[in-house]
Amino acid sequence: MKTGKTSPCIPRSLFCWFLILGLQACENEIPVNGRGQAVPVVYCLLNPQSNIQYVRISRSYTGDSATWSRPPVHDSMMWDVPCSIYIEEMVGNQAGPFVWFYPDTVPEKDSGFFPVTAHAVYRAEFRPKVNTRYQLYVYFPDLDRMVSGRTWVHQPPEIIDPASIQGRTISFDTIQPYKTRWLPGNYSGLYQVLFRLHYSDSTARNYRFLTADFSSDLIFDTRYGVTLEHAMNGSRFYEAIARQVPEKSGTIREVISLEFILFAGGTDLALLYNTSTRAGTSFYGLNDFSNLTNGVGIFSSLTRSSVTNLQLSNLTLDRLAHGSMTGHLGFRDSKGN
Amino acid sequence: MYFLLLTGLAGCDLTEIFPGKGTDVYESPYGSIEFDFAMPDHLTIPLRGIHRIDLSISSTADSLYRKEYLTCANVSDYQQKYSFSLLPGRYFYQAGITCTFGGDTCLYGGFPGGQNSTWWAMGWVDVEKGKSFTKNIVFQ
Repeated sequence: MKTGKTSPCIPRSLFCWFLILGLQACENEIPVNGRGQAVPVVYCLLNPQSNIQYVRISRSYTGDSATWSRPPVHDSMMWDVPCSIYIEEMVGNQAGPFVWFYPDTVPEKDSGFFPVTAHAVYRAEFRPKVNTRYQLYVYFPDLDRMVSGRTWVHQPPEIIDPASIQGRTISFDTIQPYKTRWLPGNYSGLYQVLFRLHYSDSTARNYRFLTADFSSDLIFDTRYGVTLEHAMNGSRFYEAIARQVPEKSGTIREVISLEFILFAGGTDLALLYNTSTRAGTSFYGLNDFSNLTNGVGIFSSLTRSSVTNLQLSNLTLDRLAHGSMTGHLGFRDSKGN
Repeated sequence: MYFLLLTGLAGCDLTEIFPGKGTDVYESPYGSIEFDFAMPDHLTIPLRGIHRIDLSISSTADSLYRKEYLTCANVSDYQQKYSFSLLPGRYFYQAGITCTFGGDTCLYGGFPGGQNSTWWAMGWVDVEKGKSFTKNIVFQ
């Protein structure tokens, strides 16, 4: 028996017809190997002890810590996109005087097995003030992108020990470590202690002045207002010398003096180091620390303080000359033998 | 399963452990001496110009004179006490301070050689095995 209803077959077929047409119009190809977007990498470590400051620009497609195990190929780190760089001194929360950076080719690029020649280096002539905040701007007009960051320039530390006092000597003992001490400046947080041995290397034909370094690992400590200490293991001094000074028959070596160098980094550099050493221990991806917005890298400060003309003790000179680790290197002992 | 377990246990090499009498305590052959290297308190000049420069130990008095030391401390103006672990016996020590003030301040303060001259204190100590004691360094 027929009713007054229309047959449902007609609108259903019409619907199916439109569905097919609609699906055919869809773009269902997904690009699996898409073109990545480059991330600017900006490195700037202000040095309040120098009249020339540098900024290094490169690029990266990787902002993820998981990719550090397979670093990008060299070509992908080159970047010749023009950019404008300037820095502002902050007076309170207001922008103060500013200085432009210009392209520079004076500093030597990395050499070695994988030389990097394409990093863009910019320089500016000014001396940053300590305990002052600066803001860095890197503008890429072609990309319409601005990378910026703020940092406080730290005050260089005051070295307490070793001190250059006539008659006082330094002894690298295999039992008792040598204790270095310094008063940190404001906004510091990262240190490296280094002893540089200056010695002469003489043969029948020539006479040369050379150096060998004995350094600590990086020391993370953001305290200030207290005396900081770091103990240097004496036996590692002899290991370091034996590793760096080559054995040469017929060569006579004489210790001239010892220099103490203390590198200090700003708080932002310290945080970068601390998060990278703790990667994987607390929160995943913490080593992606950067105090820059719209890019990665670091904007902080670095200083170098030193005490020169330190003298080694007779015990250390004798151990250097006759000890099991360095006895074959030809150093003279305290009596000149 | 049981067969495998038995085979595995049979493979164990059980070694008998002797607990001992509990008296095998390591005894260090060394004795310890701590030097209290205080600055002289009878000086008439400020201490900021007076610095410790030496604390060395020798086995004989003449080897001290010849600068043939057994050991020495890395002295500092920020540390007063220095410890050494030594084999039992008699040892000779020397401690030195210097004055870095300019002009004739050091002469006035009691340093006979004036600026950068050294004021020495010497003596001897006996070290006994397993014992520790303190020696006060006195500048006369």
